[in-house]
Amino acid sequence: MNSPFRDAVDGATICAISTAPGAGGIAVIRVSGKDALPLGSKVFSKALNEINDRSIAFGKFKDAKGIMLDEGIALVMRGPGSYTGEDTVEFNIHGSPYIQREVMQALIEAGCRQAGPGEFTQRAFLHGRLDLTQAEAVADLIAAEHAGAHRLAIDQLRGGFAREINALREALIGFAGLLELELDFAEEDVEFADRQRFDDLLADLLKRVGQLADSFASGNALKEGIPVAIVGAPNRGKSTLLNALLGDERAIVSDIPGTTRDTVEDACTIDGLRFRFIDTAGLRDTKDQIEAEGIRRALAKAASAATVLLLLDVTQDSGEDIQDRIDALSLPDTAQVMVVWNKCDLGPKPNDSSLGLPSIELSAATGAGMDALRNELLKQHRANDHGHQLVVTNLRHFEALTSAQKALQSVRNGLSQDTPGDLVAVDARLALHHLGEITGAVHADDILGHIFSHFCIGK
Amino acid sequence: MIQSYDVIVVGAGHAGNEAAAAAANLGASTLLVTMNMGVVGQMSCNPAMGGIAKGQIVREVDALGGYSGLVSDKSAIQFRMLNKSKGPAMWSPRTQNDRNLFAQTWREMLEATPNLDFWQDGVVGVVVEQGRCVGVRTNLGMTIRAKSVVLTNGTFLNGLMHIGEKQFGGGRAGERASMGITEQLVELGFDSGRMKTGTPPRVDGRSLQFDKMEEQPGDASPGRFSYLPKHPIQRQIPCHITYTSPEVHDLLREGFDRSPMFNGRLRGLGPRYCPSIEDKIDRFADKDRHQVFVEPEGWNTCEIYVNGFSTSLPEDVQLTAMRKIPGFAHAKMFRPGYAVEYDYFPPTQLQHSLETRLVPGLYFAGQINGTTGYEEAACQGIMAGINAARSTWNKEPITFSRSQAYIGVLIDDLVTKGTEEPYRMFTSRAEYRILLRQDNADERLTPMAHDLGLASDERMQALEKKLEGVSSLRKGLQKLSIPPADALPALEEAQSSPLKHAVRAQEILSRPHVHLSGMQEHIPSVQQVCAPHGPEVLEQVEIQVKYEGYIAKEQDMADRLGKLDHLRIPADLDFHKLTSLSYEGRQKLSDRKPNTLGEASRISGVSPSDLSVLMVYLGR
Repeated sequence: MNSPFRDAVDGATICAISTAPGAGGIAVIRVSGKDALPLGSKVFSKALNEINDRSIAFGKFKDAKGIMLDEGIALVMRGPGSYTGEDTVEFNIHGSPYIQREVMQALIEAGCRQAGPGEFTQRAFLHGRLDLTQAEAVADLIAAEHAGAHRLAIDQLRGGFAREINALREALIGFAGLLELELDFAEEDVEFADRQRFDDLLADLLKRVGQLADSFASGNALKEGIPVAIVGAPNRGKSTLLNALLGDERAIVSDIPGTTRDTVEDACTIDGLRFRFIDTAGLRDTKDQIEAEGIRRALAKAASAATVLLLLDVTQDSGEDIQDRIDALSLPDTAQVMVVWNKCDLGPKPNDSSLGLPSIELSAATGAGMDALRNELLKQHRANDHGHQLVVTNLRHFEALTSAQKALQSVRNGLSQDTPGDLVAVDARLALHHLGEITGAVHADDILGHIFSHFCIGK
Repeated sequence: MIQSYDVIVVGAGHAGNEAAAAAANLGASTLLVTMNMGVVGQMSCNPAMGGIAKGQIVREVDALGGYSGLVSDKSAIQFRMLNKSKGPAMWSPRTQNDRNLFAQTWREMLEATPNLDFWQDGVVGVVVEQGRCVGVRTNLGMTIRAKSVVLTNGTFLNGLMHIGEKQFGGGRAGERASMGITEQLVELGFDSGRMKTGTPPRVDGRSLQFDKMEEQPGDASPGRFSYLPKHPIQRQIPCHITYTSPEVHDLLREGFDRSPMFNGRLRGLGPRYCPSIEDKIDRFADKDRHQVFVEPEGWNTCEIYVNGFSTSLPEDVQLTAMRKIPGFAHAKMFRPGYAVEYDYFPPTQLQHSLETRLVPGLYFAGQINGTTGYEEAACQGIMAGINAARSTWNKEPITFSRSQAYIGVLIDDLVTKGTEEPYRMFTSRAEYRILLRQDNADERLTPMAHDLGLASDERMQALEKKLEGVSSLRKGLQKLSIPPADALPALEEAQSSPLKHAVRAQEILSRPHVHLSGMQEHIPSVQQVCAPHGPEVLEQVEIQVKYEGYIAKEQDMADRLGKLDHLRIPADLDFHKLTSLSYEGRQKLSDRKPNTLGEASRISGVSPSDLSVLMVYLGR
């Protein structure tokens, strides 16, 4: 069997470059496995097993023929206290791609194997150093490009999420225990919990599970970026605004109305908060089938965005029909609309104060007023920041929570309809099962494979 | 002097009798060895069979072709279906039995079984040659050879009885203990432990005032255990319920300093779920009364079993305290309650076939494995008997999964988790309670047992007839359309909302609180469709229709989680080499040698991350 997993349990020693690919000042090569110290010693001038745990040593790197490659530092961390739970060495070498390649080559010739994606974290999981949610958080942490995503990942890595799920499971186990008691000891003279106690327990569980499940929408937005749609009639400068926000020529810009036919989107970070800006096709009546489809998509994007920037042109638009334009978008109640007047370098902004909406004037071409737009966006969405509340960002967790919520709701309905306890218990057990899926206390067949395929090499 | 056998069964209790019957019925030449042929199939504790979860087990044993159900039906003095107000997973049949008639029926049925011989003698050891069990040695100095041996020693291994400060060797009141077997098995490498259990006093029914107690009658239309309608229950005797009081508790407490429970003389661990009365008042000091069930011992005796009053206090304390219970003021005691301590072998030393891992050919069943209860013993007996017989023909053992039978749950629990206190079955031990109902044990188990040659053609035909009836009635109810006016009386009776348009009869039946009986009564067309079918078919259809959603949910779970039970772990896998496993996980896995990932997942001490290691190792 040549599953890479097998080596983790068989004891193969793995190595990988853990820093970003390419040239850099310093590169880190990580070696983990039961032979990490002896195999690492083959490429290093000092015997690593003589180095104290969690200590560093300076030495020379050499290849299989004994030719010196570099000078650098070895950091020794012995299992089970290391990240992976195995003996681990981290070599800090100079960051030239050539040196990196040669040291890796030397390690492989010494008997190490190139690590697969996520294999260090997988070993940490297999050795019980991390639970499933923490392992997933490591992947998120590495991918975090902004403060919001980073904080979510750190919270999860610290185990806060797993602790909450386990606390929920324990509460649910307590509840199920009360149910089972009534069933198996019906003939005996024990006192059973009253219905009110059942309902209180259940209401509390439902509330907590519901809060976690609901946090997914905002948690996912924090992680992936808060969706902001730029909509408006053709040739108002929507693509120019997108490019200005991203600081990049992301969308094609021309004077021809209807240049943007499909939605274009990209994310950027404003003061630690991630936004995903969506440029849409200009809204107008058209007989062109392709353009019509673009407009349909534009409306759909607008409807699912957290904020809609209604882009107007001070040279073409008046302040009078803005409400009609907004109504035409048929937005959900939760959408926040911001009126953005473009081309303010070419004329004054018409009066729109009767709408009571935030209104910004700017010039996407010159950059004037762009900061005001950014500040307004931050102002709107900082308020939605979850602080240190637990937030669900992972689709797998969200699905399990939703299933648990559904099962708990069935339990509640069952109790209120006087459904017999053995039937109510079916749903209580289902809810337990789904919560257990999150932390790995219950094994669904494919959870592991799915999780570990989401890692990059070296971690 | 004695011939050699395919299978020798040691012990003629609930486990031993079922084991002997199963092996013999499968065609193995079988010898049942017991110390006392006068008490084959003794009910050592209360004169009742079944109850919650246990009744389901008796139905399963019956569905396999075992005798316990028929014996219980024939000797029943009362039948009740417990928990009728709950869902069908909880309906649990229970009988009160005539203790003597029960044992007598067992003996008659065993004597009528072909291939089965008897020998009255004590077994002092097993014969092991080249690591295999090949027979037994007896008190009379004989060696009887066999291809496999089933030990069902119950409470007799180094049995020690306690009444107050007195103690004497014995496995049951008036019967001597069995010595030597534990010592030999320990020498062979087995671990052994000590457990205890107890019984209440028996009293003279003529001395009780039943008018001071609540009467508990049997069901108005009693059912039965067996799927075969051989012994319908026609007459019944009521039981009675009364309660202890603070005065009773105070009197009992006065004897605590002479109680073997509290002065440390009793070492074994007793059942938490069936505690002695002194245990109850000690642990639940704030409860000022406990239930006492007053159970007649049979048709032709005045002897009464005082269920709920199990005790090993000195006999004078027992009597003085008991006389303060309402109805017991003038009670005369026939025999005092006592506690018995006995050896058991932690069942983690067994395979799922109930064959010991250490000595091939040697099987354990019943209390020797740390269980309590006649039903738990009987179901292990039948499985051990089946597998002991099959092993003599080199056939694969028969085991059941946890979603197939309570028997599967019980044996899997014993083998993978072990037990430190007497193990009793509960419905909550079963993950798939809705699938393991008392009404469908025949459907779950009889076809397989028939293939094995254990369940008779008669049983199989009865099942086929029932299934045909179920299928035809379900089709009938599916097709039958009921106009709103016709349905109204039945719906009103069930306080269910009236129909707006005609719907199928099945849809009406699926409503909460609507029952087939009510529909039959009020809707002539339903009456007509149901008329050709017996009560078992009607019950089965009602359950299938009403609980369809729940049954489907559990079946889906069982199918998904059952996958782990199909992932086999190679028999030669050296767990010690898998250094990623936790230390405890490695120890437990090496010790228990699970066959599948499912079994591994249920071993206590094997953590979720250990299981992940195994999963990835096996290439999942």
